[in-house]
This record gives sequence, structure tokens and C-alpha cells, in this order.
Amino acid sequence: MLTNAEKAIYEWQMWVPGIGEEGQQKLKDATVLISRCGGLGGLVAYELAAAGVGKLVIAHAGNVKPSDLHRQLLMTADWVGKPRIDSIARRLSDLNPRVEVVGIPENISEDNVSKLVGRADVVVDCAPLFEERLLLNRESVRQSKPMVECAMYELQFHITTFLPSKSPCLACLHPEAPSHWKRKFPVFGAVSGTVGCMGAMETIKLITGIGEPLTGSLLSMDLRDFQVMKTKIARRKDCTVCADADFGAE
Amino acid sequence: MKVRFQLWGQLRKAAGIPAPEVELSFGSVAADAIKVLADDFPDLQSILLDDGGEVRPIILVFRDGQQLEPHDSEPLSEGSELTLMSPIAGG
Ligand SMILES: [Zn+2]
Repeated sequence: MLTNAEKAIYEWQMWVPGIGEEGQQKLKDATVLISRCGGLGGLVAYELAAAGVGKLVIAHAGNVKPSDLHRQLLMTADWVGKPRIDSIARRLSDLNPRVEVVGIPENISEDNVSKLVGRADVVVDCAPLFEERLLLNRESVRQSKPMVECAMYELQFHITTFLPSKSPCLACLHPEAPSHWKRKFPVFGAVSGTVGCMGAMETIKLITGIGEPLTGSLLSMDLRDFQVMKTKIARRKDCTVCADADFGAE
Repeated sequence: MKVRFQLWGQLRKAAGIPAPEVELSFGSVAADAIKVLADDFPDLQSILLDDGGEVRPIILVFRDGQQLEPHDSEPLSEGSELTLMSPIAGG
């Protein structure tokens, strides 16, 4: 049940057709796993906390560095050298103390992926390394959890949603980790923020059932000239992750 | 015949232009076009092609809004447009 205080906080979004008290309750009852909470994941987490998602499980290792601050909006200048996850939990709790934040001071790995994905209704992939992304994808497909995929480079970004047994998976899009990808790359915080907010909205849609998620479609955008492209992702018949999945609903 | 590319991700930066064109013989397929593009723009070579000169499976190729297998056998035609994307991530 929503309290009167919650109704007062969320009333503007409850006016959105298809949401109402029922949709808000779905958000309150939901758990979302966010893999890395930097430039992308930080905005996903911030918007989901603001929208009243009940529980956020956030996996992010390491301490805050000066070079995080231009895009990782949940990190603050006074927290440089201290654990990122503490800054994330503090900032989310300041915004919305009703949201339960489960901060995991680790990145996604073989050791923790099964347990973390198992706790979530929706998974959001915001990691910088393809090894982590592909691992999260494999486990999300195995446990039949929807995964929202956000990525960025320079002034460009793309976003898609993978629904196990209904869409291709990340390994269909990227069958292996690209050798040329560098951990550090050019980007603005406004780019990660844009796609992070879109990833949050996509997650809200999946939880509440409103709208049409980007299932099987890749939305790409270049903020340099506002070029937009929406393309269909093909399922690889030899995909090592989802080839055996039941695509009867496709 | 002329085929036009739209480049995304690191490919655009490496080529220096967003939409290069290549000249191809009739009957060429997407992989042929990508190899000619790599010849025309040496900075694209190591991203697009493996050590054996074949198109890397990680390169995303789209034609008319649909993703193609890098070795799609459908011949291209005059004015065809291919979109190429290199994988990007987050952070
Ligand atoms: Zn797959």
C-alpha cells in the first residue's frame, strides 16, 4: 500500500496514463540491479530512486577519483579517495530515503553475478568493460531477467532492451569483447546523463508495463548533430548465450 | 558502383569523416565494401579487419535498418547505404 506521503511525492508521475496507484505500487515492489553506477548508472539510479523504485542493488567497486567527477554525478568532490559505493548510497538516500539501497563494493564477476542477478526484477548494464557486460548478459538470459543496455562514446550513445526468449541478447550484438576498446575514452557527462535517464525510463516501462520497450531494437543517437538511428538487432543463430533459448514468442 | 557508409562509434573518429563513399564492382557484398573502406582509410583497418584481412565479427553492420551478418551474401547495389558501428560501453 502507498502511504499518503508517498502519494504526495509521486502524484505527478501517477498522473501519467497507465501508472496510477497500481503502477506506483509496482515500482515500490520492484528491485533493480545496476551494474556500475558511474556516468551512466549514476543517472539510472538517481532517476529510479526519484521515481520510487523500492530497492536498488548497486554493484560498483573502487574509490572516487578526480576524473570521475565530470560525469559520475553521485560522486562528490569531498569524497575523492573514499569508496564510491558510500557516496552513491549517501546521495541516493539524501534524494529519497524511502528507497532501499543495497550497495555492493564490487564489480560484476563470476563470483557474484548469479546471486546479484537473482535478486533483481530488472538488470541495467552500465559497465565500462565488455567482459562484465557479457557476463551480466549470460546470467540475465540464464535467469530470464530483462536487461536494459546503455552505452556511450564521445557524443554518441545507444540503448536497447533484451528480453530473454523474446529478443536477441548482448552476445548476439557483441559476440566477443572488442580488443580495440579502451577503458578510458572521450565522453561528456551530458551524454552519459542523457542515455542514463533513457535507461531509467526504459526500466520504469518494463516494471509498470507502459509503452513499448526497445526490445530487439537498438536506438543510437549522436548529440553532435542530433542524428538518430533505430535499427533492428539480428539474433545470431550461433549465439553462445541465447541460441538454445525458446523463441516461441518471437 | 558507389556505396555510402554511415560510421558510428570509434569508426567515425578513426576515419575522420562520418559518411565516406567507396567505389565497388557490381556484385560486391557488404564484406567486400568494408574491405575497400579499410583500404581507403588505413586507421580503420585494425578496427574493421582481423589479422587475416577478414571483417571482425564484433563490427555491427546495418543495411536499411536491419542488422546484417558481416558475411551477408546479398549483393549491394548502386546507392546502397551501410551503417557500421564499433561496440561501445559505459563508465
Ligand atoms: Zn544471443
